[in-house]
Amino acid sequence: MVSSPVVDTITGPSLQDLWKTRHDKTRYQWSSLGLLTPTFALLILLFLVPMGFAIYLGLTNLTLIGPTAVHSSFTGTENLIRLKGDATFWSSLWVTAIFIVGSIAGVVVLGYTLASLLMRATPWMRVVVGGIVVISWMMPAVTAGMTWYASTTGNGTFGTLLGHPNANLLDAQPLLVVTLASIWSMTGFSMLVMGAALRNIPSEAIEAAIVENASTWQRFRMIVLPLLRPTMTAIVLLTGLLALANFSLIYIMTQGGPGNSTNILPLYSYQQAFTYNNLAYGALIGNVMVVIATVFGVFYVRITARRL
Amino acid sequence: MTQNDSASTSGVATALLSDEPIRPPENRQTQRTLARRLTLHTILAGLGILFLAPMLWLFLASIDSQASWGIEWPHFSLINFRHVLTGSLLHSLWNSVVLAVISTTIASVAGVFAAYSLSRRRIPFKGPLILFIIFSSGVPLAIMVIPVYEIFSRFGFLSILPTAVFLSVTSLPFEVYLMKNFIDAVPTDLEEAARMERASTFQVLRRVVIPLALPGIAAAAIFGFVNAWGSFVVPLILISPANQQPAPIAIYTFLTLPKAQFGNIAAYSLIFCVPVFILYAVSSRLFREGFVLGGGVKG
Amino acid sequence: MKGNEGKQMKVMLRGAIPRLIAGTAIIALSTASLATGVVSQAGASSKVTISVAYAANTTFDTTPLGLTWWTQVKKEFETKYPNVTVNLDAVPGGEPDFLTKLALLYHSTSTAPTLAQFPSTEIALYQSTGYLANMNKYLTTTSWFKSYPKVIQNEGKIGGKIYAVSSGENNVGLYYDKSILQKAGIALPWQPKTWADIISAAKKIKAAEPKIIPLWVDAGTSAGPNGAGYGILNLLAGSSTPTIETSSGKMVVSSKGLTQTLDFFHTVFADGLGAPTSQLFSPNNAPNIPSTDFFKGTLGIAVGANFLGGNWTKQVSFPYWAKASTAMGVAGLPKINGGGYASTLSGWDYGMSSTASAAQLTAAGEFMNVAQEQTNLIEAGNWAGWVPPVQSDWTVPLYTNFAAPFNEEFGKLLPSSSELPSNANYNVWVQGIEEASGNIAQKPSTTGAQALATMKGFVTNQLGASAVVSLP
Repeated sequence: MVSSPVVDTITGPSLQDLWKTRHDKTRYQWSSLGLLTPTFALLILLFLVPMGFAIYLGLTNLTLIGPTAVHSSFTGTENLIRLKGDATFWSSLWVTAIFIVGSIAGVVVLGYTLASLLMRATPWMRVVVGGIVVISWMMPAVTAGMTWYASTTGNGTFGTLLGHPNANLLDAQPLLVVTLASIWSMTGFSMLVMGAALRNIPSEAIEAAIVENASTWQRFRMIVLPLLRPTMTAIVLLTGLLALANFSLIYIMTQGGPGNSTNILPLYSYQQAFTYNNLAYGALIGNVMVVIATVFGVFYVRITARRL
Repeated sequence: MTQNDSASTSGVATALLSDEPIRPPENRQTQRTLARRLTLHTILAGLGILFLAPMLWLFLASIDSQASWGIEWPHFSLINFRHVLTGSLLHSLWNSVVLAVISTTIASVAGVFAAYSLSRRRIPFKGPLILFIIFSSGVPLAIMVIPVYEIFSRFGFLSILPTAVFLSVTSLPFEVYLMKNFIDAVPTDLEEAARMERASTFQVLRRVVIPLALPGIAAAAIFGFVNAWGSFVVPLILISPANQQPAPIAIYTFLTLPKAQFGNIAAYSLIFCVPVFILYAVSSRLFREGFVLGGGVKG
Repeated sequence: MKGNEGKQMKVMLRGAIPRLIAGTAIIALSTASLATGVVSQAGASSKVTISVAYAANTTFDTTPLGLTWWTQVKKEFETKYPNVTVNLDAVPGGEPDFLTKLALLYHSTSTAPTLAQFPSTEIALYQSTGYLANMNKYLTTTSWFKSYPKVIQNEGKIGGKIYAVSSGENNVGLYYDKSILQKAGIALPWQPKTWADIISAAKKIKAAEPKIIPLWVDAGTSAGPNGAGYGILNLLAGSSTPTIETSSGKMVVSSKGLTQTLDFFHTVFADGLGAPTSQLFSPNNAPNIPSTDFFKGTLGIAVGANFLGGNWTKQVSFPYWAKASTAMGVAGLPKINGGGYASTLSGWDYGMSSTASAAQLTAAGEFMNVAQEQTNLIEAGNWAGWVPPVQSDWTVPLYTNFAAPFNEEFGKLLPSSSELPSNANYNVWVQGIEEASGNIAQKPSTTGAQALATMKGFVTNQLGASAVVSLP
């Protein structure tokens, strides 16, 4: 009997695989639910319940301090109407979009470039450069934010490198600098995963293409890209979700400022909840983030389901 | 051919510092290729420097007895490290350890069970379950914090242990997803053999599945640990007592002080990064040695 | 803190399941509460524990000084009242984070501090939430409270009841470097009479020494709500319409005074007279940066709070500048067209928790008495950069000799200062004006009118049109 089907261990089986019946086991095994209990208990209590509460909370007038901190009430669509007219919210949404797209683009491009270049480099180079990139990925957000702050404000590393030691790059182009920091902190993972995927491309295919005199670009487009697509999709999804959730990195660097130029949704939600004391309104903004994350997830599932 | 063998075994695992580069066939070693390799290495070196640049301040300031925000030639001294390995700062590091260890343990144990269950057994609604797990990996923490704060405050849970439990939940879905993929890759032959010997589920897990899927489980556990170790906004809101705050909060506190001691902050941050770096080194060794999944089955 | 829980269950719990728990707990704990209550009324011979929350890093000039002061007061108190245990909760973080943390502490009855020290701008907010206890009966026999100037006494008075008492005040004036002004040809001692005088002095400094920052005024949001209190709001206080909040509780989003203030900012930054944004937006408590700049000789004039003087003392050393007393001068911040000085007044106050037991409140009252003893009070003022609220202290040598002559000068300036508002919408309003000032600092071509329009739009958008008002 053939053992488990050949699986792509990077991204998991496609959804078709999941629903394929196994002919050796036709019974449901309800006892398996026992194994799932701890996970689902935790998820229900500390994930679903708060999420439900967040949805409810977003429609109340609960505040952190003030008259409605202790006795709050359900206010229906009042917060939603407020959201619609909240100029800061819409600008925050826009800033978030730019931040996410920029992060994804940078992470995918840099990750692929590094992975493919490193594959053909000397072992020494692979350890050093690969190591540096992975270290930057593993660095905790607080430290990353701090080092980027130091490197991009007056007398910082980047200013000195570019010949303008006193330049305050962070103030001049806050969103750009913050996006670069975000790319810097996420490329390592992308590089690793892409590297693994590239190794799984059969070298015969590449050799055949070289024999056929295909140019580098053609090799990339015809062979590498299609085979890499599931990995790239996974990276796009992950990076997008991580960028959407980014809080500490930007909070340390700019606290959302100057003005609202780096006030992405998680920061604005925190600002509303804890600086302006509007817990309920902050929760509503958070709910918007969940909707966006869900849309991402749905897209991912659709795309991987279509995979051949 | 050894090259293809290493290329066709598990994916991510081997990517980490595998020692076999893929070389072009020997008969194409032309001048053009040599120039190409030079360009390649130059670009790589450039990228490497760009990635190293931000970290430069961290290293220089930590050994500088008169550090500031700017980058300057340091007044070499190890006094910063001595300053930070004392009192409340050390205690904050300990709090981080407590938080991360508890969180990782809960998530890994619950995660292995769930991952195995989803991978092997025929469970109703398996597809939507997976979907749910992917979805919940993506829900941003900043929004979960507010309702969890409300709930925790009503039950008096605003301290380090309940926060660790919550942190385990935040990395649980992705850990399950990661582990499940690795468990999927473990052939069922061994399990079936064990079951024919009347092994219980726990024994199967302990003796067959976990050892073979260990790289993946370790990867997931490390992910969970790093997640909890670097967590900032969750302990910021959920941990009330000042003496239970973990290191990231301490770092942030020092950053905003009027009389910020940059040298100390840099040294402390470096120390804070060390466990993460160690884990990376350990995990890459794990992957190199442990990716021979197929070795447990004959042929 | 067992006694209070019985009373406050209804505040804390609202769900069905918690109510069940509450039901049984109430019975158990109210008996305990009765017990403690009876015994403590009999003469405070039972053990009482109180918790005291304060900002570890941001009230006192340095964290160690804060720790020293609180430890010394705690020791003195515990010796005097051996049956009371004091748990000091030093809340870490910069001021915005401290405020968030304190609000979180108050939110849950189990963590609400018996006594807390917080900025005066938060008083009305905490009181309207019901967090603060009425302190009237604990102040009837105290001598120190009676000797506060009326304006400081009223700082914590809402509806005739006192909910907070000041432990120290901040006011603002002008600091200037004598040698720099001399080189620029300005007569000493310098006392500008109008805003125009300030601008012309700054311009002279710029002409004489282009590399020096002529005038420092706080701008931007990085210092939190208090940043504006040390900067732009002092100019507003001296403008034609200093009103921030009308008597009906509406926030002013447009007025002649606001226009004048923002125009002043525009002039300062458009003519290159202001400080660079890398300093103004620094997360390391920007309001304290002028003391370093003055020490280095790179700053001419600063609109600064009274605590800057203390920064140059040996105890604070931020940085230590022995010559500060002769190199620096102090002047009052004039009103726009003359006729006196203007400044904001804000302080740090003590408040008691409304969920504490009677025994705890009495103990907290006694703790305050110890903390407000003359020596402790003045030392707090010296080390935290406050003017002590007791007027007679302003001429006591312990105070005047500490950061001479700055302490004495700011004591003299205190009567011309006016309180900042304290209401729920203030945080948003102050964010608006701080952003307006930050916009101008970052992009000096922004006119006062443009900045004001942005501020008006933001505040109206956030608070709703019915909560704001435009004055002529």
